Formats: sequence, C-alpha cells, structure tokens
Amino acid sequence: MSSAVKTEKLSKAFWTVKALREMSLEIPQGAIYALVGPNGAGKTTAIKVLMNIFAPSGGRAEVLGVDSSKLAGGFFTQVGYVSENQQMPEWMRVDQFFDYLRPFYPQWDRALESSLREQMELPGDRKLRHLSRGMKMKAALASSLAYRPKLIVLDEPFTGLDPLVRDQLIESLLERAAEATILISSHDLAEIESFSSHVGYLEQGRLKFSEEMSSLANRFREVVVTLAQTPSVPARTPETWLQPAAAGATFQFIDSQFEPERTGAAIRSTFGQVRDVTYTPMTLRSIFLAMAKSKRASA
Amino acid sequence: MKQTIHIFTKDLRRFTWEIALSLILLALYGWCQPVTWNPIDAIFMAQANSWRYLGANVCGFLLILAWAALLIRVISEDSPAGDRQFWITRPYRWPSLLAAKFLFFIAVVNIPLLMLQLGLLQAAGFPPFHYLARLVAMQLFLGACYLCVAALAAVARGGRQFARAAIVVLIFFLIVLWLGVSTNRAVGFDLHVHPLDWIEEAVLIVLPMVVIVRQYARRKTAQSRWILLAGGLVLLLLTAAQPANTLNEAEYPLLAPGMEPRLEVSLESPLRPATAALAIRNGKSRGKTVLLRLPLSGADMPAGYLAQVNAIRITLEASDGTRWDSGWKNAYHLFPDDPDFPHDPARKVWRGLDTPLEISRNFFDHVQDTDVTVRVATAATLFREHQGPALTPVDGQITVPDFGYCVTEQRSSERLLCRTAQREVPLMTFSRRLFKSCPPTTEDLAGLASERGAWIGTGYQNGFGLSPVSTVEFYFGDSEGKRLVGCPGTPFTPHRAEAIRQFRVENDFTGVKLADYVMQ
Repeated sequence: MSSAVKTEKLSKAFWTVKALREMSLEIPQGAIYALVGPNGAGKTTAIKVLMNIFAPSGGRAEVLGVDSSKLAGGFFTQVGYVSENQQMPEWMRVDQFFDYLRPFYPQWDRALESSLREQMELPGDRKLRHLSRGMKMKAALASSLAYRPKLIVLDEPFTGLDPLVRDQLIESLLERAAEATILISSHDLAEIESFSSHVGYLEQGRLKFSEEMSSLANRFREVVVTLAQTPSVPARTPETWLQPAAAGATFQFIDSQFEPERTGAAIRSTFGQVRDVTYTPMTLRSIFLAMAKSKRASA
Repeated sequence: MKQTIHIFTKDLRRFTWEIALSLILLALYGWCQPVTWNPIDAIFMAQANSWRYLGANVCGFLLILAWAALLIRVISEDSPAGDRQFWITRPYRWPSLLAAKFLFFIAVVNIPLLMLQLGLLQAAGFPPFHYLARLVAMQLFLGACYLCVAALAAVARGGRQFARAAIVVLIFFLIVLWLGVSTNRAVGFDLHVHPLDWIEEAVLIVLPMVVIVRQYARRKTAQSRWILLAGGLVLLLLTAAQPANTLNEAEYPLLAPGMEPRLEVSLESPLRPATAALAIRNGKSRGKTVLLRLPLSGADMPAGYLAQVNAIRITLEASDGTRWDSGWKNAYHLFPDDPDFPHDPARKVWRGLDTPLEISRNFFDHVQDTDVTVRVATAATLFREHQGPALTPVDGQITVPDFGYCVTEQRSSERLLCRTAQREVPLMTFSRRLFKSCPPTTEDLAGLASERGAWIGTGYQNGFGLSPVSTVEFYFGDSEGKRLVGCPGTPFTPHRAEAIRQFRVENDFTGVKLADYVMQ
C-alpha cells in the first residue's frame, strides 16, 4: 500500500444534485494533502464519502488500503477525523470527554494526550458546550491525535478561528506529520500553503488538478509581456492562459502550464516581437483565485 | 461487551436526572397502586385515598411518556441518523452501541418496573417469585410496545423531526383504528383470530426491529424511512383487506338439529310498539335510516352450561324477496348471565341480547306494512360449569386455588372482593347461602337455597396495565327483595366455566312487523 487514500471516479449525488463527479486522486503516505475549492465545490462531500459517512453513488475509494464503504468500528482507531460541523457530546466536561474516548483506542498515548492538552491549554473542568469555537476545535483535534492515527482528516478546521488558535492547531498537526498522512480541506489557502505537500483543486464536484505543491508552484506563473506598442487582446490565446488582459504597452495573463521555453514560444507566436517578458511565481491563494475567476468568466 | 458497558455507563451519567425522575414517578406509582385494589366506594370515602387513586392513573400515564422520552433521548444521544455525530468516525462497533441502548432500557425501565411489580405482588399478598414468568412476559410486552418509538427515534435527526414523525404515526394509527372499528372488522375477536392479524402483529413487531438493527448496522436513514413507510402502508392495506362484517364461519360450525346443548334464541314482543310505529307513520322521524331494536332472548341452555355470544347477524326478508343483511357484528352476552333468576321463570328465558339495527329508510318504507321474516344467526362459545370445593372464610378471607384470594364485605349487599395476579381472569363466579339474619335461624338453614353471583370474566386493573394485580368484585344480590345477608363463616363455592366448543345457531321468526320495533 503506497497510497493512504486512492479514489477512482468517485461520485456522489443527492437525488438530482451531483455533488461529486468522478473524482480520481491519490494521496501518498506521509503527504499533507490540501483539498481546496470554492464553497459548494464538494470538498466536504468528498471527505464524508472517504470516511463512509456517505455511501458513494459511483466509483470507489480506498482509505489505508480498505474500501471506504467498509470503514467501520475498529478501523477508526487508525483515523482521526475532525470537522467544523461535527456534533460533540457537549454535556461532557473536557476531562470526561477524554476519559470517555480513551478506552475506545488500544493505542491511546496518555503522555501525548497530556502534552496536547497542555499545548492547547484545554481546561479539563469546562463543559464542551461552554468552550469557544476555537477551543472546541482544539479539543476535537487533540482527541483525534492522542492515539497516533495513521490518517488525519480535517474538514475546514480553521474556519472562523483567530490566528493564534490557527497557529496552535497547525503546530500540533505538524508535530504529528512525520508519522501520519494528513488530508485537510480548507479555505485558508495562505496557511495551507505553508505546510501542504500536495494540493487538489475541486470545482463543482470535479477535481481540476491534484499534484505536489512544488509542481503546482512551478506550473503557474503570472506573465507580463511588454510590447513596443499598445496591444489589443488577441482573438485567440492558448487555453492555458488565464485572465488575459491588456494595459498600456503590457499584456498580462496567468499561465497554468508554465514551462519557460514553451511559454516563450507561445508568446512569440501570439505577439511576434516583444520588448520584455517577466515571469512571477504565484501563491496558492493567487492560483486559487485565478482558477475561480477564470471559471466564473467562462461560465 | 466492554464497549457496551462503557457506552451504557456514559448514558447513565448523561441522563442521571431523567432517570431519577422516572424512578420517582415509578415509586409514586407503587405508592398509589395498592389503594386501587380496594372497592371504588371505599377508596373515595377517604380523601387521601382518592388522591392516591388518581395518582396511580396519572403516574402510570406519565411513566409511559417518561420512558418513551428517555428512550428517544438515549437513542438520539448517539443517533444512527445524520452525518454530523462525532461517534460515526470513532471506533464504535454498532452491535455494542445497539446493545448499550438495549441495556439502558432494561436497566432503567424493565428492572425497576420488575422490582416494583414484585413488591406490589408481595404487598397484595401473593408470593412474588411464583409469578416471575408472567412478570417477564409483561416486560417483553412493554418492550414490544416501545419498538415503534425506538424505530422512529433511530431514523429521526433530532427532536423536531421525531415530533413530526410521531404526529404522522399517531394520525396513521388513528386511521387504522377507525378503519378497523368503523367497518366492524375482526368479528368474534375474543376467540377468533383472523389470519391477517398475525401478519399485522408481525409487521408491528418485526418491522421496527429490522429498521432498528439495519439503521445501526448500515445507517441508511432514507432506506429505513422508506421501509417504515412501506410497513405502514402494508398495515393499512391489511386492515382494509380484512373483510368487513364477516365471521370465519368455519370456526363456528352450525349446530345440527337436535344437537345438545344448544342455545335457542327467540324474538320477544316489542317493547313500545304503538308509539314508535305511530311516530314513524306520522312522519315525525324521516331520517335516511331507521333504528330498530329487536329484543332477543336466550333459552334452553341446560343447567351446568352457559353460552357466551360473540357475534350476531340479522337478516330481514320481505315476502317479495327484498332483503336486508346486517352482516356479522360483535356482541357479548352470557346466557344465562344469572342462572338463578331468569327474566321469564316460566319459560326459563334470559333477555339481554337486544340488538340495535340501523336499516335504510327505503327498505323500511318498502316493508313496514308487510310481514317480514327475521333470521337471527348467533355465533357463541359453549362453556361447561365446574363447581369447586366450598371455601370457608377465615377472618373474612378465602383463598381460591389458581386464582387469588377474596375478602368478604357487607355494604348495601353482600360482596366478594377478589385480587388476582393471573394474566387472564377466568370466567367464574361464586355461590353462597344468604340468610334473613345472622346467625341464621333453623328455619333459614332449612329453607333457603344458595345465591350465586353473576359470571365475570374480566378483571379491573388501574394504572395503564403496569401492575400485575387486578381486582374482581362479585355481588350476591338480594334480587327478590328479601333483605338477605351473608353470615360470617358461611362457605363460598367457586364456579368456573371451561370453554368446550364454538358453535352457531340460526333462528327464523316469521310474520314480524318491523314498525313495531322502531326505536324513535
């Protein structure tokens, strides 16, 4: 088993609404995989199908080598799942919550639990219902890390959290990264970029790309072409050029398949002689926005 | 097992207050219940007792609700419906989770109730463990009653959804009940079980069990809801499919002529013929239907036998062949109900089988001035009477084998107040000699025959059927106005009725003028 998660044409429909369309991806073991996409893209649905919370309508998925539709009971000793909208036993105090969960996991590490609770400053005598949103997420995360799961799945864990709490969560998460695979869906692209090794972009239920972060960063460039005279937007541009725009003597676009030689050749064939070309690397957030905007523009 | 206990103890902690409340209600119920074993008039003589009598009913009702609420809450605590519960991505094994909920119901409902029932039996003077099997059966029945609630809770996401579902189910059961009652299905119900009834019971018990297990095992909430809905439709169809106003006549074979003992049904003279007929003829009552009352009586039942009428069917036929058929209707009457006192001693006839008939105005108008043939078909169960050995009261109390015990009371009339822990009260009565005075004179002893109470076949149980003790009262009437009394120490003789067979008799009465029997 080389992949922690593998899906083949995974689909999920709710009556007539297709929330997930033939998603095929592979998450290598040890990866920190960020699943990103706009609201309603199908990220939560994809994760819930992987966790066997929803049954797939088509295709298949394997999680840690097990068919996702067979995940149940004891298997979840290997998976830590935290979701922003999970219903917790809110009547329990934090101490009771951990006391209750401990016997479910033979490999529960009490020392790690203590360390996580200390690190996250979780008050043992407070009921979960009296905790702030951030504290609840911390409790959920700590309770999902203390048994050293092989796969950690986080569905929008940072939504609505202040930067301090976010940093604490990420810090705790990264400490476990060496011994686990992490799948995280989030809107917080800036944070994710700092620690993700892989990224998948989901839009309207379709996985647009899924690749290593470094490859993505290499693939996208913001290109500014300076011409001798004021250009007009060409009638035809390569499909890989997103958001083409002319301003003064410059022409700008984002190349989603950047390769210096190929991109240079395409520019020359489109504009002929150019005065200057600059290629600027992009952040994940910029890439995400470019993808989303170009989709909106073409829609 | 370890996981089951772990989840179970969590639920106990979670619902500590709710459990405490249900136990307080149960204790109150147990405190109130013994008062209800006394005769009604004795209860209401003391105000405190009347409050306890009321309390038994109120607490019984509240307990039923409280247990349902607890069951719903404990299932919803780790709900198998929905996609946001934290437990579904934790290492819960579904059999352990289901077992924990089951254990909770047993521990919080069944065991406390069982303990209380044992205590009530003890307090009522019965050896508690002698009735253990019956008490366990009562617990199983109670559990079966809550299966539908549990199934609904298992497919509902939260309280609101459950409330909506419960309202729908309530309306559905009212429709089924109305359909069953209004069309007079299940005729002869007490001894006759229609084959479809078994399917209905299976649907009511097996279907919720399947839904519960399936829901915990697979959490396919939409499918489970469809299954419940389909089950409801099956119930509705089964109820509708049961033929209305029919009796499985094969279970009540027609008595061959001359076969004894038999029940001869006769049509008595109309009660108020002149005024009723006049009212009809003058057109004072012109509804679409006409209500008739045929005063039927039973005769010819030999001594030592009695017949319990379960159903009756009346057919009216005019000379020109026009017919009206009532179809089979449920009925309940014993012949003779009081063997010592026939309504017509000369003919040894007992009345009481008066049957109101609602016939169409058109049919009535067509036949009212002609002679009509009335055919009365009666489906009944024949019982043979068995007389037990005389039982002499000790301190005013007699112990009746295989039944319970009774205490004598003398108020307006002689009364025997009995308590039993049997599941079903057998059809029985007692006889006893009554005298003009106590101690009886020599003349009394020589001259008076024994007096027998009316046959009774059901017990009275207060408080929503949670108590294993029921009461039966037998009266020894002073029907001839002789002011007779029972004297202390005079023995009581128990009489029991043993069902022998079911039968059907048909009697034709010709030359009947329907107008004479109008009830207006």
